[in-house]
Amino acid sequence: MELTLLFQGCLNGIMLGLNYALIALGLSLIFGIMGIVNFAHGEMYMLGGYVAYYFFGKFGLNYLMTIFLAVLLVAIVGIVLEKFIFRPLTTRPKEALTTLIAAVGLAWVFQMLAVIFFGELDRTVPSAFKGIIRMGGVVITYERLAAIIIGICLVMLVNVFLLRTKTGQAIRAVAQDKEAAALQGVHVTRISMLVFGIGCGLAAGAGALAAPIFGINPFLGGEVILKAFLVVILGGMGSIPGAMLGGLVLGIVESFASLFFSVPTVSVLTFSLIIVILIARPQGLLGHE
Amino acid sequence: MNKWLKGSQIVYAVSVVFLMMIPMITQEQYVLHILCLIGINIIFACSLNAILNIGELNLAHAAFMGIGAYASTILVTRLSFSFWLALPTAMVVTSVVSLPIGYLTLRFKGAYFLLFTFLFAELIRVLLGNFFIGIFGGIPGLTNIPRPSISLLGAVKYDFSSKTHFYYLILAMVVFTVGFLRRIDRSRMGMIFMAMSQSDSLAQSVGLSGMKFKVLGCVIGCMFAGTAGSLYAHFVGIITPSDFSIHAVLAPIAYVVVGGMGSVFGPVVGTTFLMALSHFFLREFGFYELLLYGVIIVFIIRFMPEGIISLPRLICSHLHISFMKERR
Amino acid sequence: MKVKVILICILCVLFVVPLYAGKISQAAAEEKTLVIGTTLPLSGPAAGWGLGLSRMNDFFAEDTNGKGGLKVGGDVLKIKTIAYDNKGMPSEAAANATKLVHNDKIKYLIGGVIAATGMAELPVTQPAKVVTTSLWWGKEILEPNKPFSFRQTVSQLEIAPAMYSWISKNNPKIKTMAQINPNDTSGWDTAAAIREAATGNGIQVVAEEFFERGTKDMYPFLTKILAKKPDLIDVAVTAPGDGAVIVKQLYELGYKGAKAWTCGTNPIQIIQLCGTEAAEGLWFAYGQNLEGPNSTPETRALAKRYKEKFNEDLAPHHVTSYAMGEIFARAMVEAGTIETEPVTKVVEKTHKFETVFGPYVLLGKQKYGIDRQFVHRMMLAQARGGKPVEIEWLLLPGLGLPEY
Repeated sequence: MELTLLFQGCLNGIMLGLNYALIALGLSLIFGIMGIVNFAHGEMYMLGGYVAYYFFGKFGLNYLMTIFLAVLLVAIVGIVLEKFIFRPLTTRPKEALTTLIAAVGLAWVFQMLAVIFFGELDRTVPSAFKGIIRMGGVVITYERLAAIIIGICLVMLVNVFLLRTKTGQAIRAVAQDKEAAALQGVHVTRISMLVFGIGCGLAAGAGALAAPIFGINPFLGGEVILKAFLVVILGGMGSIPGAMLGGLVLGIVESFASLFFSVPTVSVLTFSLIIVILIARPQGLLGHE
Repeated sequence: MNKWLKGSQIVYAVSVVFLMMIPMITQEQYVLHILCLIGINIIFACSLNAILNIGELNLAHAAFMGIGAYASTILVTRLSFSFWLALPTAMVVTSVVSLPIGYLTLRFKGAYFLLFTFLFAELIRVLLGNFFIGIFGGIPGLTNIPRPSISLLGAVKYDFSSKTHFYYLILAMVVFTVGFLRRIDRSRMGMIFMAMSQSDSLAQSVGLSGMKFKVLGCVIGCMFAGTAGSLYAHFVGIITPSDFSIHAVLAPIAYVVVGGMGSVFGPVVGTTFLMALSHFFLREFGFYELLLYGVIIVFIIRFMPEGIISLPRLICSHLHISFMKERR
Repeated sequence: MKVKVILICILCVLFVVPLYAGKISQAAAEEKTLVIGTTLPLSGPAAGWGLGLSRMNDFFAEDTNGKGGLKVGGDVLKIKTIAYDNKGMPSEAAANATKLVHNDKIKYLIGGVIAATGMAELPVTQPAKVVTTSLWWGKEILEPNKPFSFRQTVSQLEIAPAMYSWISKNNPKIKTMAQINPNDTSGWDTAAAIREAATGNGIQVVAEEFFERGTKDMYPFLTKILAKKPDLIDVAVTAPGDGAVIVKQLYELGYKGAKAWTCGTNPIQIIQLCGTEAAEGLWFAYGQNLEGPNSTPETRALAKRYKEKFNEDLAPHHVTSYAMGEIFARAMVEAGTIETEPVTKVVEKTHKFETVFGPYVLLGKQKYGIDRQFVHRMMLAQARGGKPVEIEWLLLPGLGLPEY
């Protein structure tokens, strides 16, 4: 195999991996800290894409502002959902299942609302960064590069927030032990709301970043959630480095395997690899037990 | 206790007789068609419920239904089995496959179990769709699956292409499934399952060997999933790998959760209600069907998290009527 | 005990109510109406197809009723439309078809997408002699033992030979090709058709890829394809969203060869999605400009009307539903009845039609054993400067078709 092909494969893997990681980050947080399986996560991603379509594409708002806006708006949606739908369920038994089905129902509702308000056809979002970099046969576009950089900044922001601020500490405390945290004076309900909001906001940010590159339609959530799940499984729940690592590993394995095998074979290989990793390490690569 | 049991047995008998009389009340093809689909889904939902009470969120159950469906279809179309042999064989095949899978996955708890079942379901979908295409039909799936028939003395007597006949077959299987699962529920094994579902470690600490029972429960549940799969294949006549994907299993999980998970009847009520709602009522709304369905589900879950089956209890408590003593 | 009794009562109500609901809807149908039904994916990824088709049925009904209704055998019939959402699932499609055929007593189902749903519906519609016209691609849909199953638009089995015959005649430099398809039934069928058509015209297929629906990043397998240096890359039957991403990423990766979208059905939308530079030179077989001079005035009017009402572009394959309404309505008038057997015979006999979409011919005996394939004009277009530029009408060889 030519060297350029291998380099391109590597680069593909990193780009793909970071895309996956961003999507999975929010899911991992919600899953790990609140124990809620947010099956509507893909729809939050989709909404972020539509925010980009309208505010950046139609109204001409600055791209970075649009991403910020996407995170903010959808975070608010998330907070509302948490307060009125998910929280009452977490106090009842079998909350894992009830929240799952509630999320599924919400996913359907959001999909059809998107069709009603945005139309059912695919749409594109113009790109803020035009141009392609070619170095000796290897290609990366400016828009992908920007997405990677902004994405990494987002992740670092979240990381700093969790590690350095008081609220972030509180979140980590709740993640470790809800009751102990409450005893320490942490306002657990407020934290839960915040975490859900952040998780949804992150998904929307990923969606807004991906929109100019991949296009949007009301139903892309369903496809996104499956990939996000894989990353969370691999990286471990609730772990930010885990989501990053899981995403990167998945992206790189998929990219390299695609150079040699057909897509279905790649899927089987990827799944088998993850199963093997899970058997050896059930909490995922960087998850806590 | 004895008297109460007898009373409820009469109630069951009456309801079964009523259900048997439905084809005599109406010959509406559509109604019978949907009742058959409801029946198949009840078998699936009840078995799902059984497994949900052992592990937690299980996304792989549809994959087992798929295994049953494909097994039954291949036996009938390629190996010329009669349906009456294929159905039990499919049940056995599904049970056998679920043994190692159960053993592997049930070691994990809670969320990891969920994730593992997710992986398994996706893996099965990709395998069925892209490998051994000659046998499994690939993504287009298998078509022209024949209806079962009974031939006596060489001459074909009963061809189940009539919906009425199929309805009776499915009704029989539903009664069998519900009865079987209820029997287990009430048996010593059922008590153990209940103990484990409420607190795994506590159960273990009093000496109940977790794994053996968990795997057994898994096998039983999967066996019925395979049954549902076989019936589905021969009723709808075409199966594709995406019929048994994760997105496809979400609807039945909704049936179970909306119906109520405590008893065997929760899934029955949930399936009947949601499917009747969607097929008889919401269908008229055409494009808005999915939207309304989603709203209704969120609504019910939000305000009745224990499911429809808790509705009588809720009503009684609101009316301050003392509630008949329940098993638990 | 009380609990069980209440529950059983609820269950009984759930069973009994729909029985009467069914009777009521039947009674309404006794009025002098002709109901055109359909079951389509109105939600989910295929909604783009389903919604457009059902809306065309509605337009046809509006227009016919506006002209005073349909005069068949002494009665004046109003046309009503019903559309049920099958979400792209075969079991739902079978249930919907059962409802339409047995409950709503509909005789004509116009519009259908996704072959698996078709295969689930036909066992319900055929014994009841219900006519179905659809976009179900695949050989099993049209068979001599399915006399009431029509295909309202050309399938890959017709398009691929025409497309590749044109390509090889007009571009002799193209010697190798690669094709990309979604990993589903239409993808597999189309790949086979294109494989055959390309090799039959002297073009070697050097690579084939099937990507999973929902893959957004195509770089991995595109890199692999580009390594084989094909002269032409065909995205075949890929959906607009995914295909646009592929075309865009091919451009980014520096591909400068020829591009085709043999079964791309909405050129204006597609070029918009790809972006002007990326799409440059892309060939479409379904490239008719519905608002251009090569389309009939009626088509142009429909396209404008659709855009005004729904704020989206009408696609050529949607218009075929309207054309089906026309063809069968006329046949009903001629046969003097709405019964499907005589109407089908009239349609078979008539054989050539003029519709809002343009000329139609009913063919297929050679390929399928029965004439149930409606063949219409196919315009080869190429994306130039951000717009689809019509080049010429594709002839459809192998069907014994005379030129229009």
